[in-house]
Amino acid sequence: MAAVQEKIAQQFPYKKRSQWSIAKKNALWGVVLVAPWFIGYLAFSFIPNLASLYLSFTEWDMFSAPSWVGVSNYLKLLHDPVFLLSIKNTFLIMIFSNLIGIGFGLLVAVVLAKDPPGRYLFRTTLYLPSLVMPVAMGMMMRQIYASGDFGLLNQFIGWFGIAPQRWLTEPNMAIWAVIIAAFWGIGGTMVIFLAGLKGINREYYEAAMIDGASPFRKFIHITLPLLAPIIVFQLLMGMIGGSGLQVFEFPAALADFAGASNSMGYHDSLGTLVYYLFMNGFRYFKFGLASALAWYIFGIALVLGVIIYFLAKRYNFYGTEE
Amino acid sequence: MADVSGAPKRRFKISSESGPSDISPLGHLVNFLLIGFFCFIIIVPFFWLITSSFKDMGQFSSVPIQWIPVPWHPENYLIALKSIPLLNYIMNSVILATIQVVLGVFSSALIAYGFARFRFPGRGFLFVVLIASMMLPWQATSIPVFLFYRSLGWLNTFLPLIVPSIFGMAWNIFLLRQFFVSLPVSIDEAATIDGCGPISIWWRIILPQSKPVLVVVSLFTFMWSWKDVWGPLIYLTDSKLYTLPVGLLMFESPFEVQYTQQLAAVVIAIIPTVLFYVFGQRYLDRGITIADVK
Repeated sequence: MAAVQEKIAQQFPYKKRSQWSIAKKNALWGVVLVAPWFIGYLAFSFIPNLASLYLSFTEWDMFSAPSWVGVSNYLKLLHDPVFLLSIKNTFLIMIFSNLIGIGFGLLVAVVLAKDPPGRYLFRTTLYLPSLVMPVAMGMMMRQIYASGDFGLLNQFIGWFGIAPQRWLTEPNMAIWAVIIAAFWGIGGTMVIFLAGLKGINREYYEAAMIDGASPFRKFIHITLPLLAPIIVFQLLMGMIGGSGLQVFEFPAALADFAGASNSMGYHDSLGTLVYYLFMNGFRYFKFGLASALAWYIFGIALVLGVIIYFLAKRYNFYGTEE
Repeated sequence: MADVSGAPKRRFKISSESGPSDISPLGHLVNFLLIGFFCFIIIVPFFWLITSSFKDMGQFSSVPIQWIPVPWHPENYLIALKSIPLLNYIMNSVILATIQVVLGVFSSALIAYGFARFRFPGRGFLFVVLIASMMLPWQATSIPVFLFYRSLGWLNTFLPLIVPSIFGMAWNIFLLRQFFVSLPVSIDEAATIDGCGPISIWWRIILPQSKPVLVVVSLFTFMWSWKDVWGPLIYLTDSKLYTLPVGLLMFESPFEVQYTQQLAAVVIAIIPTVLFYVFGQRYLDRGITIADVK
């Protein structure tokens, strides 16, 4: 045996050294493969963030050199009613659109999971609208919300004896027009909940049935707790995503983005944070002010991100990391 | 993560019930009516959209509503196509999305392989940074990035939309990494002994095992690109380069074009999504299991 080992050692004299260099080589490959992402992250995310932090303390219109103005952009925004309205609108959308999406999405998922007749037709009908691009939805909804008697929604509420509303031209109404439209996106959360429901072990329900539990109690004590991680994840992803903090295209399409280019809907009533960022940065070219706005958005995202991080740890969203 | 391999099969039941259903006929009826009501509400605006796109303005603004226009006006579609270069926008969107999918998925798969299979100092930290970067709104960095591209002279080209995807997309990297980790290492090791280098292991062993998840990630990237407004909106000002959503959004309020013709344009813009759903549905279903329920 020892002779064999000696022979191997003779044939591979570098064996011990190569063991060490395999680990090193391995690490080198990892670094080389991951480097493009990290460079991209620095170039397109991290450095621009710092640059926008600098810009946010300046006043700059692209034609003259940026001049240092301290925190005045941040203060100016706090006294800007349109900015405050945009924050309010963004938070309203963040909360209510997602409650609609999750509440109704869960309801239809629970019902569909019971395999009612015609389930595939229902599933497609509910899911397909959630794939339609927000701009197209907005252009359709703009006509449906049309004021006067001929708008579809006004005709509909007319059947119940409600007077026609000025959905998009009443300052406090327009944002609810955005929120109501979240109903047409419930299919997106529904399919995720359906997949989650599929994963719940039938035996829980059978045990509950033997104990004589009502369907409502089964939902409260089995379905809801077992879906909780998915629900929380959906809620938070919705809050930081396109139907939350980043909401922009849908209100923009409702507001007649191209036609009425100097306001965000009637009296800016459709303004959201990202929409206002666009207006300041790319319509008025107030880069300093827009950068301060970007940092407010970034700050909100950071706070939400920290909440998500702790919830993710609690519910173990990402599986096991080392 | 479990059931992602193999070709997707059509499921005959949505739920996991295998035995006879424990729901009474009355329960079925209540469920049917409830879900039917939801579907009805969701479908009405689309039904209205399609019929309205065949109306003239008189029929459009008539009270009470004319659900089926008589006579109908299919010429709305021709006028819409003539006044809004929709086919051009659709072409731009398809070209851009295809390039982003090819570059974005390919590079993300390489980077994910690096995260999944190689130990190097700082890997855990970088992965946390990657996850964090998925959560932060990318619009917030767009002013410096815009100025950077402007200084390169890249405005009004697809370059600012294409080049970043070479550096991988965080969400794709994350999903692919999670999948690669679940693949058995023993095959890699066997291949190493047979003299395969890391890149050829990735190409010959990892990727072939990951076909379903690659399809899903490609579909998601395509959908993301198809819907993306922010990037094309700030970098493209030449209307010849507009993608479909930006073209629709930038379309001026109609003076010469009527509302109903505009609605015809909306119908045309929705058609690719429907086709996409019809052809990609099975993979979308699969993707939902991979992406959201882990």
